[in-house]
Amino acid sequence: MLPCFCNLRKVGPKYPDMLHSTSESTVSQATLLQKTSKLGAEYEATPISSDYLVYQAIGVGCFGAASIFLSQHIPSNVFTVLRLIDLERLSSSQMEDVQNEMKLSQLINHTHVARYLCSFVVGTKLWALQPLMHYGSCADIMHSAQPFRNGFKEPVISIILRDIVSGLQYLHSLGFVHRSVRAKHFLIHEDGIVKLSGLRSVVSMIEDGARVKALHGHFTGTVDNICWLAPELLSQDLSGYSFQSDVYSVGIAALELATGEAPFAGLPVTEIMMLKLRGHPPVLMKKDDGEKDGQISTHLSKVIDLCVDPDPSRRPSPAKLLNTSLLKVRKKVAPNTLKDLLLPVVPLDTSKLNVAETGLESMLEALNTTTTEIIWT
Amino acid sequence: MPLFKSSPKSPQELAKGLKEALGVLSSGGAKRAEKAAEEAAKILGQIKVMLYGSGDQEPQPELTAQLAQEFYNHDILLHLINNMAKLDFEAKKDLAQIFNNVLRRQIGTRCPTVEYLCSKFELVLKLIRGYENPEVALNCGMMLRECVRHEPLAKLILENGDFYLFFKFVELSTFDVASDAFAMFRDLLTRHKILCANFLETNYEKVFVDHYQKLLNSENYVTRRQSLKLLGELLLDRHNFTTMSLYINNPDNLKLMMKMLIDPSRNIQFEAFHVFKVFVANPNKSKPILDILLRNREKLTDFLTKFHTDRTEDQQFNDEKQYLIKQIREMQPAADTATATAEAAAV
Repeated sequence: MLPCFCNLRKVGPKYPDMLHSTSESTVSQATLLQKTSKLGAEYEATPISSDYLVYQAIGVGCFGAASIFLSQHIPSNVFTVLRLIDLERLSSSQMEDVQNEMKLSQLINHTHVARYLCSFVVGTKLWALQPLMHYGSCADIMHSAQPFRNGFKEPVISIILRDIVSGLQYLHSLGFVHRSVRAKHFLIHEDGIVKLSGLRSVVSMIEDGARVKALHGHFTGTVDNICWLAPELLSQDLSGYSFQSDVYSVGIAALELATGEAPFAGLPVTEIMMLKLRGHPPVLMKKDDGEKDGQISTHLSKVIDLCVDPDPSRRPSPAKLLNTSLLKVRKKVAPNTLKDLLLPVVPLDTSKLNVAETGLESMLEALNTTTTEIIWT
Repeated sequence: MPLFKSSPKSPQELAKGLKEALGVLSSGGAKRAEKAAEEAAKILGQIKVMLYGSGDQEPQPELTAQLAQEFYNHDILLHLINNMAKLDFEAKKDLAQIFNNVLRRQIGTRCPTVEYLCSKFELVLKLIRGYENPEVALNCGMMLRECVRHEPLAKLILENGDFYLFFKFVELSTFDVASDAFAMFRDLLTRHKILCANFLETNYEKVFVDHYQKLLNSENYVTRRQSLKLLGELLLDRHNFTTMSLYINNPDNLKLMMKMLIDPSRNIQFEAFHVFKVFVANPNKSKPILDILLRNREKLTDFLTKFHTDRTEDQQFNDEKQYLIKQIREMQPAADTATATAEAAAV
C-alpha cells in the first residue's frame, strides 16, 4: 500500500507549515510560526562567505570531510551552523550525494524537516549553512547528559515522535523515502521544535513522471544505519521496499529514545542482518536497571510493535501513527513543554560564543597542497 | 466536515478552472492574484492525484488522456510555465510532476506531448531561462531533465543558441542550482550518443575552443573538477572519435592538461590524467604534440612514476600509468611525412 500522494497541506490542518499556514492555525501554531521565522524563513541566506562570523568547531560530519562550526550571519544576526565540506576529500559519487542533498533542501519546506539554507563554493570547500539547533540532536543529548543516559521519559518521546512523524509524513507526501530515521537525525531547536535531518539518504519514489512501486538496492549509508533499517530494505529481494521501511525505523528510533541506545547496536553487521531477515524483533542491548522496565508503557510498546512488524504492509502509515493515542494526545502541547521536560539540559547560549581563533583562517584557505616544482617546457 | 465527499472533478472542469485561475494570475491585481494562486494550487493538487493515483488507486488511462488533450488544446502547459514564479512553493513542485507525467505519454510509438513541445518550443526555452531565476530554477530543472530524455527535444535544445547559456549556469554562485545545471549539461552532451557526437563534431570550434575552455579554466573548483571529468568521458566515448581526434591534435589542449596534471588539487590531477593519457596513447600524434612530449620526456616519466603512487587498489590506473611511461620513453621524433598528414588532420 502506498500512502496518498495528494497534497496533505490541503487535506487537513495538521501542517503547521511555515509558508502555508491554513486558516485553521491554532494559537500554538501561530506562535510557532512567529518563532520559526527567525530560523531562516525570513532571512535571506546570502552565498557570500564574508557575511558569516565563524565560531568554534562543534564536530565533524559528511563522510568525515566536513568540519562543523557555529556561525552567525552578520547582516541578519541569525545564528547558523556552518558545515565546511572539503570537496577535495570526497569522491565523485560522494560529491554527487552532497549535490543532491543541497538540491533537495531547496525543494523542501516544513517545520519539522531540517534543511540547508544555502550553499556555495569557496576554494575547494563547500560552505553549507543550516539553522542553528540549540539543543543539538536527540542522540547528542542522550550521550552527553547524565539524566538521559538511559533514554527519555515517555512524554518527551511522544513529543519528539509526533514532530518527526509529521516531518516524515510531509516527505512521504512528496514521494520521498528518508532511509535514515534515527535519533542522530532528530534535531531540537531552541523553541523545543524537533526537526528531522539527514536528507542525504533520501530517495524519490517518483521517476520519469510516474510512481515507482518499490525501491531496490542499498545506498552509501546502509551499513552505518543498519540498526534502524527495515528487513525488506536489507534483504534486497524482488519485492523491494518503500515508505513503510521508514516506519520500521521510527519504531527502532522510538526504542533508541526510550533506552538511550539503538537495539542491535554493538552486534556484528552480519548478525544484525540475519536477525532482521528472520523477522526477529528488535534486540535491546542495554541492561535495564529494573526501573527502566516500567518506563516503556504499554502505550509506547504497542506503537513500537506495530512499527517494527516484519511485514511492511501491516505497519501503520505516518498519518495513522499521528492518530495513535501516544502521539495524538499531546498534539496541542505548546512547544516549550519539551524545553521544560529536557531540563537540566538547556539550549546553547549563543552570547557566550567565542570567535574561532587560531588556525581557522589558514584552514579556510588551505588547499591540499602537493606543491610541485615541475615546469613544463 | 462534509458528510459525503464531493465527486472528483472531470478533466475538462479541472482544465477550465486552471485556465481561469492562470488568466487572473497573469493579469489580475495583487488581491485577486493571491486568490487565483490558491485556486491554481488546489487544482494542481487534484490533477496530480488524477495523473499519479493515490494510495492503492491507479490512475485511470481515459481520464489522463482527456486531461492531456485539454492541456494541448488550451496551451495550459504554456500558461503554467509562464506563470510559474507566481505559484506557491508546493504548487511549483506539483506542476513539475504534472508536466513530467504528461510528457511521458505514449500512443503506440508516438509521444504526443513531445510533438506538442516541438511545436511550442518557446516553452522549453522558457524552462532553460528558468535557471536565471532562483525561485523556479530547480523546478524548471526537474522538467527540463525529462525533456532531454526525448531525442527530438534534446536536438532542438542543442541546436538552439540557448544551449550555450548552460556554460554560464554551471558557474552560478548558488551551489544547488549550479549543480543541477551541470547535471543537465552533462545529460545534454551524453544521453543521445549519435545526436551528441554529431553536435560536438559540427560545432567543435564553438563548443570546445570558445566555451569549454572557460569551464576548464574556471575559478570555481567544482566547475573545473566536473568539466574536466566530463571532458574525459566525452573523449573516451567511441561515438565521439572525430571530436577526440580534433581535440588531441591541438597542442594548446595538451599544454592545458599538463598544467592540470600538476594542479594543487589531487582530484583535478587525477581527472587530468585521464585526458592526458589519450594524447599519449594516440598512435598518430601530430608534430607539435610530439614535440611537447619529447621536450618534457624526462620530466614526464619521472613525474608519472611518482604520480599518485598510493592508488594501489586501482589496477587499471596503474596499468595505464605504466603504459604511458613506456610510451613516452620509447617515443620517436616524427618523420616529416607523418607529421604533415597529422597536421592536415588537425586543421
